[in-house]
Amino acid sequence: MSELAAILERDGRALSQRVLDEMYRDAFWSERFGDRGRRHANEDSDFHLRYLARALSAGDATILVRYATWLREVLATRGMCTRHLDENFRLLARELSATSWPGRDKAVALLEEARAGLRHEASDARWVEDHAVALAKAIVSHVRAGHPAGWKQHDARGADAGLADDAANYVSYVADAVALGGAATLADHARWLAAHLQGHGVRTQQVHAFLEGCVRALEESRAPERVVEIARQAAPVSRAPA
Amino acid sequence: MHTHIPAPEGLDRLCARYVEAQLAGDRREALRIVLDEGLARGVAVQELQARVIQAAQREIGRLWQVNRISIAQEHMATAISHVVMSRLFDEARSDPRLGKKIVVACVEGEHHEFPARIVADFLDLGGFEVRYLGANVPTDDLMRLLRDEDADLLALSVTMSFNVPSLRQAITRVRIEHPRLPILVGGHALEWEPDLARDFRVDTCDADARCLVDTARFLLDRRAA
Repeated sequence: MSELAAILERDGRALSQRVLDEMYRDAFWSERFGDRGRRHANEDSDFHLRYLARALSAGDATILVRYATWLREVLATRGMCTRHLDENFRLLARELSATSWPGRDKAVALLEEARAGLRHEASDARWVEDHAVALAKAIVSHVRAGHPAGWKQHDARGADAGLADDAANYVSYVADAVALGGAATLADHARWLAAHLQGHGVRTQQVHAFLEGCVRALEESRAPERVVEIARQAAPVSRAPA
Repeated sequence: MHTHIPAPEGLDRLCARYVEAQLAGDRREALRIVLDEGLARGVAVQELQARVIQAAQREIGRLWQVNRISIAQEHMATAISHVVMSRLFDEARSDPRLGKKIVVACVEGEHHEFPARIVADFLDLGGFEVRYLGANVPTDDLMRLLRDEDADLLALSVTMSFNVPSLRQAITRVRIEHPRLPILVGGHALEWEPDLARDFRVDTCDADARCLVDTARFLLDRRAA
């Protein structure tokens, strides 16, 4: 076992808990998954570290990449998106970098390989990921065009960042739904998000603009028809002006 | 009596119906499918173990992965497969006994027992005397048992990659105390780390009945040479 693998086994939990605490500042996590979700998140964080430790000992990122892509499917069918898992790995890498642990650079490199491995391979899902930044920006523009006022109330990320983040996550849910071959997981998220946004003071018309903005962004960017169809199925919104 | 041996696609259908019975929690139907529609119609026990039960367990795992079934349903399904495996084992005719003893165990920390159990049954039906230790065997206890049993071969199963350090520890200790004892390793962890067996200088093979029995025989012949 590498020296860092032993350290991770002994001290890694405190580090991974700091990461989760940071993620849980976004109300999304506690509101969507509750206490049970946090327990699962704790367990998953332990597994991340155990697989990271194994990859370190073996000197091979493949193990961590395979774990990440396997876990992505577990999580995507339970209400999370690839961007969430990627964010978890990114924050773990950042926290590891901030330690003085020997071999931390290697661990960070392995986590970066795992993040790269989370890119979808299937062409339509990959298309969504390749255009994710532009799509998220377009969603934000569509919402702002009709509703220049603020976004969520009580959002630790700040209103503007909150909207951009919600849009980027939504695009990731689209990519995952396309990869899974159906609209079900995206529809679940769209339903939940609509209720969540309304609970945070976002007006119904804005919620509507957000969901419609996603479909419009895909149409305007000439996304593959299958992608647009999944987005339409997941959030059937009328085109009547708000 | 006229018998009809199902074609491979027939076994796939049998497997699909077996999965349905598992998810319905219907042990009797699962047994009936395997015994009456499989064994009684001339399908070999090893085929039923591999193409129906083992394949069904893989499907159950996939269904859990994509959130189509709960952990409770997964456990219920697996418990049914243990019952069916026992009945199949009772009904099976084993090959002539070879007078060779194999210890089969999951390494310390490894709770996924089913793959090791299938291996134990394959080897037993192949004529070996099997000591099957089940899941999560502490390395200390494994060593104690090996001292008492005078085994001819040790087969270790590891499913989760993070249990590979336990595998390494077991192999290292066995090498010190029993340097001539052949070690066969298998399990899902080797699919994610295909070079593991080579790195640990142990043998592996597909979890297929014929391959397992042939490999075990080969290792014992090599040891005797």
